Amino acid sequence: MASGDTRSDEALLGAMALGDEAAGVAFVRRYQRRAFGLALSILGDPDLSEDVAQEALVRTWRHAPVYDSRRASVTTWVLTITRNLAIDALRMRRAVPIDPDDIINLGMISNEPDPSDQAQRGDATARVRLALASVPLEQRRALVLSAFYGLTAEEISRQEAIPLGTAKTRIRAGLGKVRSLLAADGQYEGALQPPRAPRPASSPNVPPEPGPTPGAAHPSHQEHLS
Amino acid sequence: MTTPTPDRFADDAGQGGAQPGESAESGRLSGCEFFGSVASELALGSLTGADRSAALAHLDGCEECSALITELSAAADALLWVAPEADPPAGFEVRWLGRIRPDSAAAAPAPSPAAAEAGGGAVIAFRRRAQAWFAAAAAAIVIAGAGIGVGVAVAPQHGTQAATGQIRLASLRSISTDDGGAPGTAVGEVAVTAGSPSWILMTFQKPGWSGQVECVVSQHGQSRKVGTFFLYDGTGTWALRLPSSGASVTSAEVRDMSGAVLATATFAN
Repeated sequence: MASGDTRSDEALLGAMALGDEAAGVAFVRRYQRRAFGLALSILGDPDLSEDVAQEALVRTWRHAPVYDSRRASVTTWVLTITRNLAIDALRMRRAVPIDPDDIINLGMISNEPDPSDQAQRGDATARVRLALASVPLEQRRALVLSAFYGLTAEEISRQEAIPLGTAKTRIRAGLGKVRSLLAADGQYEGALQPPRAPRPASSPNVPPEPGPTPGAAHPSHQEHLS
Repeated sequence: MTTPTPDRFADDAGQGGAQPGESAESGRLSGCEFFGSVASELALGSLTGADRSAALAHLDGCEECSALITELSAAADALLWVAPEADPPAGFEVRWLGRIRPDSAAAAPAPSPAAAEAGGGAVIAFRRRAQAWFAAAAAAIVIAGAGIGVGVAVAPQHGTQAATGQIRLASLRSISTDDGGAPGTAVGEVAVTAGSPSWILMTFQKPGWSGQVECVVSQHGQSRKVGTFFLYDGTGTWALRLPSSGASVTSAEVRDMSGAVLATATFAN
């Protein structure tokens, strides 16, 4: 996080909502590595990943006025927008079969906490890594395919050549285990984010110009997160 | 109403082998039991169709399942945290600034054939070059301002998007013949925006000239100094937010510190 601006994420978004481009630049400096890193993890193409990260951060600028901290943390909001855009880009050029090991092998599921992560986010990321690392491999693959690549259980069953029921069970068991571990670790009350309602269906992921709808009836948070 | 419990997610039922037809099985479930069977997919955003609709309908009336989905959704969100960070290509911030400004150079319209036939090609080329320069310079100002913590004071606001659409450009032409050059030689460009706030941006290049110079603008028949800048090795680029609307600027001058006019630019109305 190479931003010299010490304002909180929420304060920066508030300033961005008023049109403060300097706050926007500070925000971009703060999140560009995370947005680009996530897009690159999913897409593996630096040029396309930059486009996705750019678009994600442009959307945070445009929708800063309607950001609602009760529905998602800023980090979650930015990463979810990035993920959804990356999945859309992936679906448009789905020529190369995806492999969750591409992400797993990037070292994200490491038992060794990343020092920079610890410094920046109070090792919340390391805790999530540990939780994910404790999930059996086949469940982890299903989780990664769903969380990062946006695959449905049916698509995972085809991808992994397993029955649909098995795919659904792996997703359920894997996420349940992560949830239990993080809850036991107190993560939901700590550095991660306030709890929120469920995600939108991943297809289609991102409308052309999403318009976050403040105060919309539950569970239309999906627009907020797009 | 069955209460979803962590036990439902605690073991790896999938390890025991395939469970074909679970979708059909889910179809026979109802209430909280059904919701518990699809909650993880809902949290991950991968639940679609009738199952998704049914799950959302159930959520509306069940506090316990709402609590469950809240925790599962937080866990699903947390997964994205573990993606490794990576440095984007250089210039990412500048390109981002360019994208939030619809009137930046990238969005400049191509010259019309009619304008080209009328001999306006050079003018349009100059305008587009200046617009690109304006966008880059403004971006640099904001980035530099943000870096040293004064960006809020100098950064153009959202209104600049409109202002950049009203850029007036003029060629900065030499007055002095001290270096042997002919008067009237183009030595730079000036751009002035209208709107609030208004900006003036100037680029100046003439080999052999170095040191501090000042910028004087004329508005409403009066001339006043609006700032100073330095030329290094004969080159300087400078920008400033004007105290009043740039729409009324009729000319801009570069003067040395003794007040002698080095170059001037006149804006067409």
